Order: sequence, then C-alpha cells, then structure tokens
Amino acid sequence: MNIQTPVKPGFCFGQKGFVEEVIQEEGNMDWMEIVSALALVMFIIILLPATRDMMRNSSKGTSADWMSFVIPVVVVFLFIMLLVKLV
Amino acid sequence: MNQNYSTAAQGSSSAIATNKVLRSTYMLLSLTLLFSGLTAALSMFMNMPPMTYMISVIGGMVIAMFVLPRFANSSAGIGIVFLITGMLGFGLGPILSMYASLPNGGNIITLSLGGTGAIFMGLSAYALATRKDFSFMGGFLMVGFLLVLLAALANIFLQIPAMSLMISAVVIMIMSGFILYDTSRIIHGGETNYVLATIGLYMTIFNIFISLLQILGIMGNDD
Repeated sequence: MNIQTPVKPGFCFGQKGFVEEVIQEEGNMDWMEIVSALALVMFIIILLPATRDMMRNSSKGTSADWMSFVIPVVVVFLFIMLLVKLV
Repeated sequence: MNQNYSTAAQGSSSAIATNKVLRSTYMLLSLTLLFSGLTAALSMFMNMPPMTYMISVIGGMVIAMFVLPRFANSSAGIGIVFLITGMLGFGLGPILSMYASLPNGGNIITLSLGGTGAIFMGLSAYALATRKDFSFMGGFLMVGFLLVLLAALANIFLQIPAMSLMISAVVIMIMSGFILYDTSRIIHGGETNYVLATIGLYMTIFNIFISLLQILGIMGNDD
C-alpha cells in the first residue's frame, strides 16, 4: 500500500535552547513565542490526520526489523556523544 | 516462458524507474543544499535580524505544506522546492552569524555541518546497502514526531533548557529514522515523485542540523 508521507515541518520552535536564547537577546520574544506556539499548533493539526492514516496502514515490523532500526540509531546517538566531547 | 520474460522485463523497468527517482532526488537535493548554503551566506552578509529565522521558516513550511503538493507533478514544483529551501537557508543566516560570533562558534558550526553530513550519508548508505523495507516505521515515526511537537509546545511555556536538550536529541533520533524510512520508500517504489522525495529528505537534514546546533551550542556554551 502506498501511503503518502506529509511534509515534515522544520523543527525549530519551542526549544528553550541556544537558538531561541540568541533570538531573545534582540527582544521581541513575546510575540515570537506566540507565533511559535501558533505555528506548532498548526503543524500538529495538519499532521494529525496523516499520522492516524499512517498508524492504521503501516505494516507491522518483526523484532528483527526493529533491531535493524535500533542499531543505526544507537550508532547515531554515540556519534552525537562524540561530537559533544569534541566541542 | 513468455510470461517469465514479461515478469522479468516488468521487474527490470521498475528497477530502472526507481533508480531514476533516486538519482533525480539526490541530484535535486545536492542543488537545493548548495542553494540553501548560498542564501544563508547572503543572509549573513546582509546582517539580517534574528526574527528573519522564524519568518523564513514559517513561510517556507506553509509553502511546503500547502503549495508544493499541488505543483509536485509539474516543472513548477522544482522552482517551488528552490524557493522553500532558499527561504530556509536565508532564515538560518542570522542564527549562523550569532554562533559564528561565539568564541568556539566556528567549531560548533563546522561540527554540526560535518555531523549532519555524516549522519545523512551513513544512514542513506545503510538503507541503500541493506535494501531493507522500513515502511513498518511510518506510524511510529509520525507519532514520535507529533509527541515531540507537543513537548516543544509545552516548553514554550515551561522554558526548561534540559527539556530543550532532550527534545533536540529525540528530534535527531526521529529524523534518523525518517532518513531510513524515506530512502527505503524511494528504493521500494513507495515514493515516485522526486520533488516530494527531495523536500522530505531536505527537511530531515535541516532538522538534524538545527538540532545538532542546539545541542552543541548548549553543551559548548561555558556560561
């Protein structure tokens, strides 16, 4: 079955991390927080029906299938830890 | 005998079509990444204010979600992909300028770029080499992504830096899954439109890069 994947939104809002901290230095963060929140709510509403469809129509993976996903993700995690050590 | 020949011919033409989609996707992806780099450099050169980031990203996403699907099957779709990726790159400019002004900012940007490239190429190579069908992950990844969006929404009000770090890490894990899922969809003929395939992969790269910048920015910030 061919399931159309929705376009993933750029993930950049609502993270009280460095990116938003540097924006905050410029002031105007109140309305930017409101815009961020509205954008996130819009993305959630748009993605909700597609997610429900994908949940219903996705094939079920075996434990071997899931392991083939978990192993590379663990490698990615270790790689990020290495990058954090390097910075 | 004729039936076998016909089945083999159909299989072969399907494989050729899949390879064509894959080649076109990677070609368009490389060009859009270069174009984003150029618009990011232009935005840095023009010294754009930080709010450019939010405006460009929201504008780019609205075009990607509402306009692109209507033109994805025409040549206008390619122009729209360049418009979206150009806007996203332009939005990154002020953020990159601010990171560059930090004592170890150059190092953070270089590591984030290199790390994103390594993660994308490694996972794509894994999906291409194993030719495994990752379609079973679709629902899981979308639910995970929705939960992360909800957590991000909550963190706008809670404003917990540790939660932000956690969200960025989870985004990278989910986007890693999406690289496997999207690449596997192209290989197995689930995605036949290279314009949509390109924007899907571009967004995973964009999200990994911005999340890696967040993580390395927080961890590398001594203050």
